[in-house]
Amino acid sequence: MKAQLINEMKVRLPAISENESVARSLVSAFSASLNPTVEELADLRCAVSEAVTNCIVHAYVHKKESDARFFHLTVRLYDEGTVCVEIADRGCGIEDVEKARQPFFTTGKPEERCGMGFLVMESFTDSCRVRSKVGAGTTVILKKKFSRD
Amino acid sequence: MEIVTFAPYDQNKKALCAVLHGEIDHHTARPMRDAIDRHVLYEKPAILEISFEDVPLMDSSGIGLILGRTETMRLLGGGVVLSHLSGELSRVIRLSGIEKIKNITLLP
Repeated sequence: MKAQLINEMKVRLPAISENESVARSLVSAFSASLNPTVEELADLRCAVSEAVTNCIVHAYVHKKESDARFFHLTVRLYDEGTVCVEIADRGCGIEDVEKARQPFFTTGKPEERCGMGFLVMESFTDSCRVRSKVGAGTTVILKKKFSRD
Repeated sequence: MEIVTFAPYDQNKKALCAVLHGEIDHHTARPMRDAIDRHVLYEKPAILEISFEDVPLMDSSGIGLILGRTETMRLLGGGVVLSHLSGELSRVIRLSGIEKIKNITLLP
């Protein structure tokens, strides 16, 4: 049987670093109805933090100050206890997604970025998909199933 | 509340202890880094202890923060001690493999 969507949230936020914690809190509050464990929720929060940080650090790096810089956060809850989080930007896109996903690959060296974002997203969720088009933007889709008794 | 507080400097052990407060992400890592670096460059300790007792969440920005301070301490001829790591934080640490770096010590 196909999983039934039970709740959905869409938020558009400016791509500024203050919104890293805002995004984590929103995902956390919205997912609470699925009764995740403390550890499961912490994992998801951490993965979301990485995806949002990418929007802020990398997506709009070539844009002018006056250009719109937003990211879209969509959270969907399914009746089987699965949460799906989409983080989408309209930024520069990723030329080589495979390379960007390599652990410890980074283009953000001066700011003490260590290239672990996708590694954390992959390790702390059940699935992490990336859709990206150069010049159009990047969407990261994270899925996590909460173990309910 | 300050984002980093410091225990009184231990002259005998030349140990500086920085206690971090709040979640560590890309937004908070920078002011934390600046506060720690100011104290490290002033005291020039042999040991920099970073305490995570008041850190409920850390993403990979925390790893960058630790690596950067470790490099500073290496240049000073010293090392970094990470203390009070929760289970969650330890998982991010293990994923990074930084515990294998020889001037990093992990305390429970």
